[in-house]
Amino acid sequence: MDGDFLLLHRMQNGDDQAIESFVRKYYPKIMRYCHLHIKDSGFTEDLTQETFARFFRTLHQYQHYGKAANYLYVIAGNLCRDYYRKPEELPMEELPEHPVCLMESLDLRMDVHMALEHLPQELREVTILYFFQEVRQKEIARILGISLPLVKYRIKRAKELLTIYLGKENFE
Amino acid sequence: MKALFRFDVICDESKIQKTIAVSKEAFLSEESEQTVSHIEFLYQQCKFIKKRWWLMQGLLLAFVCFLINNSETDFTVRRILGLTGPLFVILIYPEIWKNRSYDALEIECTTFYTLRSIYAARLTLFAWVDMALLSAFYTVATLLSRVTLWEMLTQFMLPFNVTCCICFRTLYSKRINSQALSLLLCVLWAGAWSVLVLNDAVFRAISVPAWVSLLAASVFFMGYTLYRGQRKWQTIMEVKPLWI
Repeated sequence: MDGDFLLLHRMQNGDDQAIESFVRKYYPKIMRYCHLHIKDSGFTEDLTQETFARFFRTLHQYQHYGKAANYLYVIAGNLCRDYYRKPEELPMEELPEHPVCLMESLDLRMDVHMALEHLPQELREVTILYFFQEVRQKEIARILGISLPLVKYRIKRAKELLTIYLGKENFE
Repeated sequence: MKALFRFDVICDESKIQKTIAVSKEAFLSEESEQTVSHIEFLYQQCKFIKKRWWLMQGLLLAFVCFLINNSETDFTVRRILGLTGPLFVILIYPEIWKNRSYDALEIECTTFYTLRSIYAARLTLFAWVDMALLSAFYTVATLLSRVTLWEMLTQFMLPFNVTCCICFRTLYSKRINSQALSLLLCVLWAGAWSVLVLNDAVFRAISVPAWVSLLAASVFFMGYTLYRGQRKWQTIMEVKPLWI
């Protein structure tokens, strides 16, 4: 039994405090996830809000098998998917002014974002979950509904491409 | 290298507060619509089930009671019970398969309740009614002093369970979308079972632990099939969309 189990049980019984704790716990993760998909920071907040709204709309049907975060990622991923249909170049002024990124340097940060943008969609999804959100490979397979070997292959391929894009010798 | 991907977001407190408020509102508005209790939901679903198949099952068991009461040997009782098990399941087949046969899954998927809830309710109803019918049957058969619990388990429940396994496995199958094929498999199984129980030498060669193992395996597999079906109900939808 994980920490979310009791929290979810309390939420399903309509405990306001539990709902607040849950949102506060996962809000940054989901916002970061949406932010990596969506360039517009204002829209990122809207998507994050909608992710939680959708989650709570289906809470009475929700069955806790593993991590609630995985289900949130699935919802957020679906919401972000529409955005993929409208590819556009990332204007420099829109690079994360907010949310604030604490990376090594602005240049490197921009490089990583640009590299991420150039990855094929299926590799980008895995990259965001694995490298940025630090989700385990097995859980990524569950979130995306693909097999574990395919996740491993995509991570490997993403590493290769990112190595090329970032001009690094060894990505490990 | 991990530091390259590590970045935090600064979340606006007012946005978090708004998200909390929206979440509570979404939860409460959805909860207010969930006014139907489990029993009410079962009652609703019961109205969609044709009761004539249950009546047929009841009549079959009554007829079997009559037959075993008038049968002279244990061999005949065994044969009757062995054939009744699969037939008892086959009678409810059209009702269990109705949703797939009529391509109703896509329609049901757009309804208020999930396909999973609908199937769970229907299977629960089938299980309750069958349990009641079989309990009544066993009570009467015992009163007639013709069937022991052991015979009931090995001669009736085992072929019954295996037929249920075939039914549910094919019902929740991605590849098989034919009630006729599923029925054919059940009939083949009934035939194979008859050959087995009618051969006294083979029948006697099967020891008690073997019967227990077979029964346990059939119960386990039926449970697994139902569990798998409930978990993977979405994949059934992908098999044969109406628009293709």
